[in-house]
Amino acid sequence: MAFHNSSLSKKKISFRVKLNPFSFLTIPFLILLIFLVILPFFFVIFYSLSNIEDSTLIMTFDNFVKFLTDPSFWDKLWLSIYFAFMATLMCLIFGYPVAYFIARTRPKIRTIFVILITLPMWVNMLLRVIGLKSIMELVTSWFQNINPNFHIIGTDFAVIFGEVFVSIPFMIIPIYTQLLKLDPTLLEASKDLGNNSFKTFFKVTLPISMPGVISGITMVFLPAATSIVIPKYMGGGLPRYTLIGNLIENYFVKQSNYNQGAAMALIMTVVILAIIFVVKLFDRSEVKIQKTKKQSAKVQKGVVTNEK
Amino acid sequence: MENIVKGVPLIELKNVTKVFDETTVLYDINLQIFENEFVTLLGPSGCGKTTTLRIIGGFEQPTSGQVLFNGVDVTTLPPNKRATNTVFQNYALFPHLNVEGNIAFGLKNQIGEKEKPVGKFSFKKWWAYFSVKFTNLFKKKNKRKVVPDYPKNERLFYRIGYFFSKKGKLYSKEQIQEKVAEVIKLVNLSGLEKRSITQLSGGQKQRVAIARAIVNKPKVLLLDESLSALDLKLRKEMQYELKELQRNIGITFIFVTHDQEEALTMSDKIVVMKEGEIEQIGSAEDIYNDPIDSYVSNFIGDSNLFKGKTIDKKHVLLYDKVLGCDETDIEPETEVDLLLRPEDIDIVSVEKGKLVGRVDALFFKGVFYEVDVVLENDNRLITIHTTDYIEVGKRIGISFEDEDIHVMEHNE
Repeated sequence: MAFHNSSLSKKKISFRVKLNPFSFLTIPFLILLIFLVILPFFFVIFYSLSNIEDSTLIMTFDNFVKFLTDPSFWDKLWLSIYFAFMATLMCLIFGYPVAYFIARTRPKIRTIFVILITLPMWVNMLLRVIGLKSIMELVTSWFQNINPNFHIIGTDFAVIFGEVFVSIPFMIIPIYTQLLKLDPTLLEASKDLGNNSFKTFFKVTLPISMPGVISGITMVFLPAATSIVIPKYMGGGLPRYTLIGNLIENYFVKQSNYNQGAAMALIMTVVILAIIFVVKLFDRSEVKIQKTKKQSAKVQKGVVTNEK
Repeated sequence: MENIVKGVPLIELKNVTKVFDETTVLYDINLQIFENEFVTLLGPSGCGKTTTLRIIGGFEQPTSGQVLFNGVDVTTLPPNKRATNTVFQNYALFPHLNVEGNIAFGLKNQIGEKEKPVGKFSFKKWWAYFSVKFTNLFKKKNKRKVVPDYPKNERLFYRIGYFFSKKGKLYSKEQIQEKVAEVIKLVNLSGLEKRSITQLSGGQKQRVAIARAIVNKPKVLLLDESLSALDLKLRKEMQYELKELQRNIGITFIFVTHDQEEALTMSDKIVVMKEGEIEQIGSAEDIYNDPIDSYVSNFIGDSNLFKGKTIDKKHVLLYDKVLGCDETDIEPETEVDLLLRPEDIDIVSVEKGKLVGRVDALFFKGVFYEVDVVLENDNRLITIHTTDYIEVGKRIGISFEDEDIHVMEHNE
């Protein structure tokens, strides 16, 4: 026994991580990540915290203070989030049933539907938005014969409709893939245990499809909150529809005021992060599994150390 | 006879026929199941046994015919309104819930009369309860005050709720917890209450599925090939546990399987099915010893089948030899199938044998040897189970008791 222990202690334990030999394939992307994502992010932070006064660089919080004390900025922020929220909600309300019924149909029809849903994505987004705008203008011209005050472009409806039109596939597809995994016998089991179809949906189908819903919300909400093109075209140039995305664009492109643009972008990032964090809280299933995985990992570790 | 003794059957299928896409899966099924029975539907895959179970459970509607529970027609009743619970073949456990959540799932849905509210609402009592409960929210665990007792049926919201609907959840949270804990103990899952479903082994999943069904105290428990996914040892264990469970909690089990051994060990009543029809209904002994035809005898246990002819009630003709047989009601001079079980055959000397043959092969099966013997009469192979070693190639006589020859009607 003693001999055995001493021989073990002599052995050097290496902590080197075993690398997959093909992991070098990720290097190009890693370089991209470092130079085009991580470094620029630090630049953004640097810009937002600095200012040029009398051609000298000074470090300051002024950029943030300026926005955070400006009520019109808060209005814009609130409006951006409101539009993004409404667009996400509409995508969920109209997208979920579509995802549900596609997942229930025969495989052949399923593929056709999935292609049809993703089909608009094959066309450039800008073109789609301009196309939508001209359709709306056409419809407006018809209705203006009856009521000359009728407008679509330049209303909240138009902006939200544009967002929904562009991003509803991003809601449908994750929910659809999640529902595809749903075992139909689970629905039978739920009915067997006393739920009618309505209750079964809320107690089984919805909780199981929750990861899809969460990723759908993330994929719709994030671009919608910072979108530039849609409020620009659907807003009809009205000042109400110059949203956060457009403001940031203004600072960077038109005014070349990188410092304030960067500060605004950072504030938006923090707000979105907070919202996403709250949304993730609802995804209880994921949290549970992660916890239990950690626990089991601990148990395994314990076993290993005991053996030593 | 059975009807008169046991009264109204718990479940009755009357002339049930099921057609799927123009193929008839069930053809004119008539079946009676009584309280406290362990009934097994046995047959090869595709014989309609699962469909029968699904019709009883309400997942499938018969194309024609009736399903009666206690004499009441429930043919069109959905599964959530039937007094049955099902253990599915793939268990169908809810992946978003843990063991406890799965088991409590059905209990939460049970609806009953609400308790009547007591006395009048007292604001003082409510404040005493609420203030402590609210301030406790902001205190550390060890510094929390004891919440004063405030029964649910004295609360304001309960009164308002009761005013609108006299019916509500049958069990309170505490009652559900109690029942879940009880059933977890019963199926030996203690310690796994909070485990996620994905982290369970096959046997544990199976037990959760059973617990989830029996915790609701159904009149009938339907089990759809629930043991087929388990390995042999675990399956044997579960067979025993299931049978024990059925004795302890006293509910009717309807079990679907294609495993004849499983059926024989567990059932009070076996229903052998073939291509959507019921071949034979009887106890395990009945079906093994007196199979109605060659199909049943082949399906249950090993069998040696011969073509023969009846002479009278107690004698048959086999290979031009008149042999005694088990008593039969089949008319004399008809072509019949004769069944000889491998374990009923004795190996004797050539002179003493009723038939003579040569040992063709010998297989060691653990408890016994399986001996293949080629008969001299027509060179056909028969199987014998014996505990004695015998040389391959040896000429032997085989013998059997008169009642070991079972006479069955011959069918094409």
